[in-house]
Amino acid sequence: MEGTSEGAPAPESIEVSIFGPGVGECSVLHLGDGKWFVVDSCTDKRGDPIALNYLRKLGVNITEDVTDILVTHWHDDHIAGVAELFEAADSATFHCPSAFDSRNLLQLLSLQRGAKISGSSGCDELANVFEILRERKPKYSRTAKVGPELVKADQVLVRKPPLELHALSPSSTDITNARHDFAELLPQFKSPKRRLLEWYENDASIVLLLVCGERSVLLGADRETTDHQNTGWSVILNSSVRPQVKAGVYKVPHHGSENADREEIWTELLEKDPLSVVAPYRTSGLPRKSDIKRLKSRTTQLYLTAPVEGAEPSHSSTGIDEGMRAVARQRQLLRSGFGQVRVRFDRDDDDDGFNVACFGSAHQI
Amino acid sequence: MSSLDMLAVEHSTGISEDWEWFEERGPKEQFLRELKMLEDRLANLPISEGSAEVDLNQLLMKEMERLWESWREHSLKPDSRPETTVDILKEWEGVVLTVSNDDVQARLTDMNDPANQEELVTFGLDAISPQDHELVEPGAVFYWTVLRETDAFENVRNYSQIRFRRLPAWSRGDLERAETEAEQLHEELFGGRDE
Ligand SMILES: [Zn+2]
Repeated sequence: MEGTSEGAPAPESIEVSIFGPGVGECSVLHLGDGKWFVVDSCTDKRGDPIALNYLRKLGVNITEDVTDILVTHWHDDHIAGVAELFEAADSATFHCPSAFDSRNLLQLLSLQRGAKISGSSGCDELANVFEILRERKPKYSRTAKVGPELVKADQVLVRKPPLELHALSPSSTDITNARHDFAELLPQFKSPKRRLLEWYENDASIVLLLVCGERSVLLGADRETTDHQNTGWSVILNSSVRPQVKAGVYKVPHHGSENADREEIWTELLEKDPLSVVAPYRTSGLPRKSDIKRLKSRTTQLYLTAPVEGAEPSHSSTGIDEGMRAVARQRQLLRSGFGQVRVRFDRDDDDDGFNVACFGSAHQI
Repeated sequence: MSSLDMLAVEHSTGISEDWEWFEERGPKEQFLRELKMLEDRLANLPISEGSAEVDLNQLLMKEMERLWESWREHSLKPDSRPETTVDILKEWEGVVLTVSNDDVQARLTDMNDPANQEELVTFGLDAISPQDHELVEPGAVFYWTVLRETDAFENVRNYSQIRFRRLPAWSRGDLERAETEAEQLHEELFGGRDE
């Protein structure tokens, strides 16, 4: 698999690998002793889940050693390929934001699936995951709980001393808002069918904080800032319950966009000059030049998983490009120049700093 | 046979007649006119209760696919237009992502091989026929066909054609079915408890 590192980490080596193909992102965490926790999912240019390919390349026993899969929110760019990954990871626990037990969301999934509008989507992925969960229900039990783990703020998802994985969101207000959004998305009788797109508002994404002794990593999902104290980054910043630590590694939220950035994140939640990783989102042109400039003023250690602009497509069969140029003002490949930013550190040695390496198109800027 | 079933059959025959008429004439412009009529009819279906309404929807969708399919064959048939041949070079299915001013941004998926790389394109509203303009909004689905026209003198022209899909409306049946499925799934996954 091009664009990724080789060689599995040692049992005591903690790894946070952030992948981004240009659209979407996926973080793969080695939590020690050969056990893996996958956050979000995206696919490569062939449509294969990146996390699955990467772990296979490392020789990981997917069935047994992928213990958890978590989707931070349900947008296409964070969920592509997750059903295939979950299918392969037989013993993994599936985590999703608390609002996902909404009947309205389940209705949306069913409607989009039935409508067969276009290609596969985040709706299909989630519907397939729920189908897998249903199939895995133990035969002997009628009552066994089979649903996903519903995540909300201030939960500890993993406790493996000296390591802990905390969820910092969604807040209870986020959850209420998300349920409301799902209800709003339900189509009206006689309204025309259409494809549900990824940027419908849903801010209930899961921000994760990995704490390991003195070092920690903040994974910002697509969390944005809001005007309300009980939502967005405010509710995280205001929390007295979250671990009062500062992270040295930061997965920059929402592909580096300005509306996901706040001065206080850098002063309250992060160490000075943190190692920061942005996964681009080409369909929205994120990060913009101004975003990169702003982020560079915050830290000298800024990394991109892939170029912001995709390569120009070129078809081998003559005439296709010419025929498209007649109409298209701009064309780019959605997924090209994919890369991995890998951070490793020794779980048992607090003096061991973060060892960063880039693979494929990932680079420091 | 219920009155709704009969309505469905009526619709179906109506379309078949149009269809024969279309087949006699054949050329592309005719196809496009036909497709438009069919799509309009689809959009203005009589709304009725129960499953017959759904069947009707499906019936019409199927006719639309057939129309499309037949046109493809037709345009490839050399004897249908002896002076000019048209070949399909590529067919994309597109989803509109954003519309701002006159710019439409969309994602294209290769219809012949979905495993091929997706493209992100920007094109002008002027590339879309005016009667389709009302359909251009985020989430709308369209077909982008790249064609090659060769005339009797072997002059070649490669060009694009964009057609928006007029998707049917959500029926009461669609909504009710989803509600039942959701309730069942909720029961199995979450024990049907209150949210
Ligand atoms: Zn995103």
